[in-house]
Amino acid sequence: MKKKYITQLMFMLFAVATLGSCKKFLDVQPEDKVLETQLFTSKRGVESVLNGLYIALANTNAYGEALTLNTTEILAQRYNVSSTHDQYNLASYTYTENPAASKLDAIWTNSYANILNINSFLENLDRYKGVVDEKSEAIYRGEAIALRAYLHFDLFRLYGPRYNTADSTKQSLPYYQQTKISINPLLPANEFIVKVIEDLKTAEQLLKNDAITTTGVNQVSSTGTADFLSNNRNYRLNYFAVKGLQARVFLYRGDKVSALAAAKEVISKANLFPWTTVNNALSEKTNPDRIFSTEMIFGILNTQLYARYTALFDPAITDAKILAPLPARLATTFENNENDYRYNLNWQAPTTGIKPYKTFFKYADVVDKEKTLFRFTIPLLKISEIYYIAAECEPNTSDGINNYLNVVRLNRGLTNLATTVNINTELQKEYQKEFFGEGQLFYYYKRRNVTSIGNGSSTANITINYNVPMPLSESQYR
Amino acid sequence: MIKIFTKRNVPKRVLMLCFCLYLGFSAYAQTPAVRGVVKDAKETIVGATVVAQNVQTGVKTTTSSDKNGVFTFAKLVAGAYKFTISFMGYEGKTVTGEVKDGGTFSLSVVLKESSTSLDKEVVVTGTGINRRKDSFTGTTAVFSGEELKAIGNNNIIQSLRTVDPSFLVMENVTAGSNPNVLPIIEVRGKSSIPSATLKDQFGQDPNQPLFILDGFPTTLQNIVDLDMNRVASVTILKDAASTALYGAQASNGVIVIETIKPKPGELRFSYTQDFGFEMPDLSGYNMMNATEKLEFERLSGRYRAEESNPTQGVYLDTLYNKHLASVMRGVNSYWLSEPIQNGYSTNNSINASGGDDSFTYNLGMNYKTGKGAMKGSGRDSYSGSINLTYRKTNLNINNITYIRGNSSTNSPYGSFSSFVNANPYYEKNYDQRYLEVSRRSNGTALLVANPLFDAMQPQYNKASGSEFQNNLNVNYDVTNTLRINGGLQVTKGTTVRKVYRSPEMSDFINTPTLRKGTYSDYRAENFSYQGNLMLVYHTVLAGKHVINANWRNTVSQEKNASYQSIAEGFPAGNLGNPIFAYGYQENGSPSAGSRVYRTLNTTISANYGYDNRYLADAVYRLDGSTAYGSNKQFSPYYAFGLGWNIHNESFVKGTAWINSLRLTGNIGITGNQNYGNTSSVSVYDYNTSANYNQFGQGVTLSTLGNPNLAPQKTRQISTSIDFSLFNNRLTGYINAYDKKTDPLIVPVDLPSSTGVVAFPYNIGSLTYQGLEAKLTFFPIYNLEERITWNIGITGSSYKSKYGGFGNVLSTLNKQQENNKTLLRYIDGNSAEAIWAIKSMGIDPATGREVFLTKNGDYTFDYATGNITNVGNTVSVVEGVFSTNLRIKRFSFGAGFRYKLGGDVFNSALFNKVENITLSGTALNQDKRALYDRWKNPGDIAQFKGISQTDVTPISSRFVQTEYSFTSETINFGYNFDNAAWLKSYGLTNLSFNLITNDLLYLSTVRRERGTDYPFARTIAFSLKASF
Repeated sequence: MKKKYITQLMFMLFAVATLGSCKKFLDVQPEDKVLETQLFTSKRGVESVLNGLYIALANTNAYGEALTLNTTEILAQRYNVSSTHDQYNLASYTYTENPAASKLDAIWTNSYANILNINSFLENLDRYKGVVDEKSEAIYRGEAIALRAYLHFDLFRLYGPRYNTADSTKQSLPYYQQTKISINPLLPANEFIVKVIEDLKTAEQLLKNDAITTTGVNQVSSTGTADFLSNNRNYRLNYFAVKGLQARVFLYRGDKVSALAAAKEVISKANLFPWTTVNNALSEKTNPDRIFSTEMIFGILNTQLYARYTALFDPAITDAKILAPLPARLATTFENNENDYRYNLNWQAPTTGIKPYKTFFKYADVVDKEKTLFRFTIPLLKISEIYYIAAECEPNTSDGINNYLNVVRLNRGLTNLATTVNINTELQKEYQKEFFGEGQLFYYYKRRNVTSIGNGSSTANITINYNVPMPLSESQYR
Repeated sequence: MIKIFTKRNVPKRVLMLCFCLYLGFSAYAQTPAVRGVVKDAKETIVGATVVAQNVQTGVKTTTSSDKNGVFTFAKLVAGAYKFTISFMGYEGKTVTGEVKDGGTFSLSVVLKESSTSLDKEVVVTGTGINRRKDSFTGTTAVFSGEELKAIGNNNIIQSLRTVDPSFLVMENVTAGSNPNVLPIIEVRGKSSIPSATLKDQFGQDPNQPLFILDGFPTTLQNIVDLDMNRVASVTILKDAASTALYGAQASNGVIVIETIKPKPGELRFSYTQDFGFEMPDLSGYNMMNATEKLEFERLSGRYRAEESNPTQGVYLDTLYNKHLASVMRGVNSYWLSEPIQNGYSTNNSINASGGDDSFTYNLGMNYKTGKGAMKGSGRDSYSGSINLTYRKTNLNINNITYIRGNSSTNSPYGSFSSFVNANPYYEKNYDQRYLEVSRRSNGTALLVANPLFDAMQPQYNKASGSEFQNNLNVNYDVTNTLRINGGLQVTKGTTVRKVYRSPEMSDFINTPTLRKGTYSDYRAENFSYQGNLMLVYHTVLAGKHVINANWRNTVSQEKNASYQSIAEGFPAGNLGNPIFAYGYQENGSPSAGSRVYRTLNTTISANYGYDNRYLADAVYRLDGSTAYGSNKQFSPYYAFGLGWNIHNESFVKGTAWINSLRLTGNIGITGNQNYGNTSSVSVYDYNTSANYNQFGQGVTLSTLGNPNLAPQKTRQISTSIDFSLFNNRLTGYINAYDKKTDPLIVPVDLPSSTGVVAFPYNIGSLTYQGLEAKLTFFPIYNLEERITWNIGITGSSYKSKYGGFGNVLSTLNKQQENNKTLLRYIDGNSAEAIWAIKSMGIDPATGREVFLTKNGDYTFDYATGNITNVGNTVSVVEGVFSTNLRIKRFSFGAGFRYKLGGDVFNSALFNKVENITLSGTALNQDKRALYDRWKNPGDIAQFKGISQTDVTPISSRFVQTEYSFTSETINFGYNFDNAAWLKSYGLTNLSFNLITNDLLYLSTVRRERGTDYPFARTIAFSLKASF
């Protein structure tokens, strides 16, 4: 009898113990994935999410290729993309045909996916409060919000309406500031741009104490790992990048006063972003810094950059795939001036004779793969652009030329311009030379409402079609 | 001479053992003695053990039946006795009787066949919870292994579709009879919207039923590879009352397979050889010959140049003349015959069993090797099992160890379609890379790849797998009414797949030299265990109340891991050893996955019978499973059923023509866990393509958390009437069901600006209502002469309906519209509906298609707004007509599937008669593209103008109603049981079977079946010898 009770008791105990550990048993942390709950419990985890946002920028469908080296440059007729070229329908602005349609769809989808990541990051910073100290959190939050504005603004420049009056009310794109599974409306262009400006304002405030204002860019050595707060600030959306971006946005909106003010603040600290050296531009043969990384206010590191180079610009690529300009078009762009650092350094005829024309070397790898700090870098915002913005916004044209435009020209191996020149003509030439492979020219044309430009594949002119349609993956669900 | 009786001598369906026992009369009047004969319907049984036990004293006396089946107890003390009669292959039976001095009484008892053959009166649910069929309210179907094997000897899936109307194997038009592609199975329709996005890497088809082998879940692949000779029985659990025991996994039905259990007795040994021929069936292809093809190309405008481009004109003329010259030369290649062969498969299976009352064993082994209908494709599998049972008083221990393995190779000929598409005016050759090389007028090369050249290159695509499994099961009878049952299964398996593509193959024409040729190596491992503990309670109260109750608890864990790496850059002519690779894939990284999935559940099941007339069942199950960060780890499932055994009612008992009549009904909720893990917290992945910067690595969202997602639940109401009439001459059942899955999980695509793709939502419901019936009639049922003949028919009919979507899925429908699929999610419409625009045919004046708008107007313009429901792929009725004839040792069976009235979208018409693009005209096409398309004004044609190469939208013109008739099985058997000559070879039994599957396929719709792999007809032969 007693034995029976013991058995029963044992059984009961067993049952209770089992039930208690049920939940624990079923809670399995996946090995091949990382859960939000795991990431947002440590500073390291939060930082890896933040870093993920920057790494996503380097995606082929974002700034790793499409928005810098390839798609937007083709739209600006940079390269000789003739009817036998694989990407002809982009160069001919037939946006609804593949591969143009799928490429434009991928850019859109990719950018908005990154925006979702940003919003989720920001919300989780709130949800898991205190994992990161307040000072760091302000910086991280500021960077993320600035990044959100950056992505939205570039999407707006690509897919949005032309913004040639002060406050366009044309229907534009949706702006997402929260993760939610519902559809945001298509905002009028002016409301959209206001949201960009608001986000940049918030970011500016959060980044007030950014280390860049005191210790500068602070590049880490090639073997070190960068600190999220103090190192490599030019690979982060730092305080000056935000100011520079404000200048860009205000100018796009036509608000030259605000644009100039923002630009001037950056220029006042231009010593943080020193000009490239004559030595680098003309004498350095093995490891030239072709992208002028010292001048970079914001840029990304794309570990796949040289693979992209091999796929897009390498002289060994077939004519149907290579991205290279018509020789005559290239010579015109640089006004046949071999003194221009940007011409000399980045354009060479292949010594093997494999191509009879000059090909693009800006993103070719260097010899020293260990020490060079600028490898894999694609600049997204440089001090030169800030000078151009200031030059354009300066109400006094001669000041614009002397104080800003000629400063850049001086550091590109060019002579000073007289104050009598048409500043906008000269700026357009400068944009054409300066931002090869950086994706800015198309937006410049769109902002300036330049309709007719030189056709990349012929000597004639071509009319740009700025009405890049909203991709199917968006429009079919609206 | 002793005749050994075995159960194989008797037709299975009539395996009812009649046991007669009678008492001696006057000759034994003084000393009470018992004499009896043990026999079945036909013959007396030799060697049956009979134990007589005196109830008062407990004294046992044992004897056995002699060569005439007669047993005698020479002397028994008067009193009450328990007679226990047992014989191998039959269930033991206890009969009580009063033995009096000089008294007489007689007993006549019908015994059931023992569980070692097939006890159709017991529903094996695979959980250890077994119910007597006549007291269970669930709808199930039970088939014996031999029954299934008579229909086809390939695998049980193929045979099950013939015998059960609710078990449907979907026709796979793409993969045809590829032995390495798993069938798609549905039991009573679908329970979820098919979607790839919610399945993870290790996920299964979300509408696939659950397979249970000897009490533990297993994969469809294991069932397909299972040696049919090992199968004792297959039970299909269809409705809520029977499947609720499986809770979260039960919505799609459960297939329970039991293998042959060891039987006590002397060593018995059997050998089976199954041989099958597979002949490719090309009758579905209707391709043009060389002359027709060239004429078609000419008419379709392949050689017509733009007027502004005279150089192109010259080029196209040259091209045409070149092709014409080959046609004139008599070139007319039939490419379809190249990649095919007559396949075969052979399976050797041996089985040995034996043992005494306390220890029995069964050893089985088989090796099956097969070559498919496409050259180079094949599948080999082997298995071994050791089944040991130990019994002692209250304890019963059973352990089964399996080792399984398989290796499969895919055909180097690749997709069959590349041969279907090859032009007949090219000469076949094996050593030229291109069938045609020329240069277009614009300077680009025109290269036509030679599919035979690719097939000749060294390459492989092979996989192999092996698995070890151990099932242990222990029963302990605590008291007469209480039993404890425990089980443990451990499985470990590995799969390896290696694919090598030679650098010379046409895939690599545009690849840099150092990257030509690829080798990929995929390895997956799985390890799982499942343990269960059950209490079984059984009692009879007051002689009338029968109560069965079970409490079962299960714990399981499944662990999967996989790893894949790819190497590239091989020297020409290399046979594919990775040591010769130039390197790993450029910018590639190894891919790997791992998953741990755990479940816990507890089940309470009760069955109550009153006087064997009124029955009730209740099941409650609480299921818990791994779901990341979920607050809802547990979900309950339940079922309740009622039944009425009308034949046991006093007012029916006298009715001679009713042998059995039962009415049952049940309702329950089950789940569908085949979906991959959905998470309520966000899941991140390391960025893979460009995975670091100076700050280290980073992560990005891969799945956005969805804390509100509820699991899919299916409510099923099922009723059944089951009858056996006119002396069991007419048997059958009619089942009706209503199966509603609510809510569904639907992956919804939102505008891409939300950043979310295929976000799982709980929306809407899917309802299936259906009827299934089976009738079997025996016009001849003569067991004395051993002649039986039956004819049977099964039928199944169902319809489905979406509900509760409202307008939520309009975006999804819009996407389906753009993707040109035939599916739409619209309330009140069937899940199997075909959506297209209504066509009024081809305008004889212009050769253009005329559409019908929603307002009833005719138009040439295609507008997606006019898309309507134009058909339904579900047949009005589908089933099998079968007949089985047995004359002494000879048997014949046939099963013909009929399908009445389902609609099919004829993709051959859509893709190979119309929708031929200008570049598509260079590929071979269906003859109807030449003959049936509109050519001249005034032509009344079914298909639009031959020169129109623009896109034809999906319209009702391509939807055809199908009536089909297939001979699923025709089989002959002969059994040499007890033939005198057998003995001289030491044999006890020898039987032969000849089976043909899918020999005949008649359909009102002419379409291409087997795009990537042709269908095959099977002729198979089986031999079984027992020693």
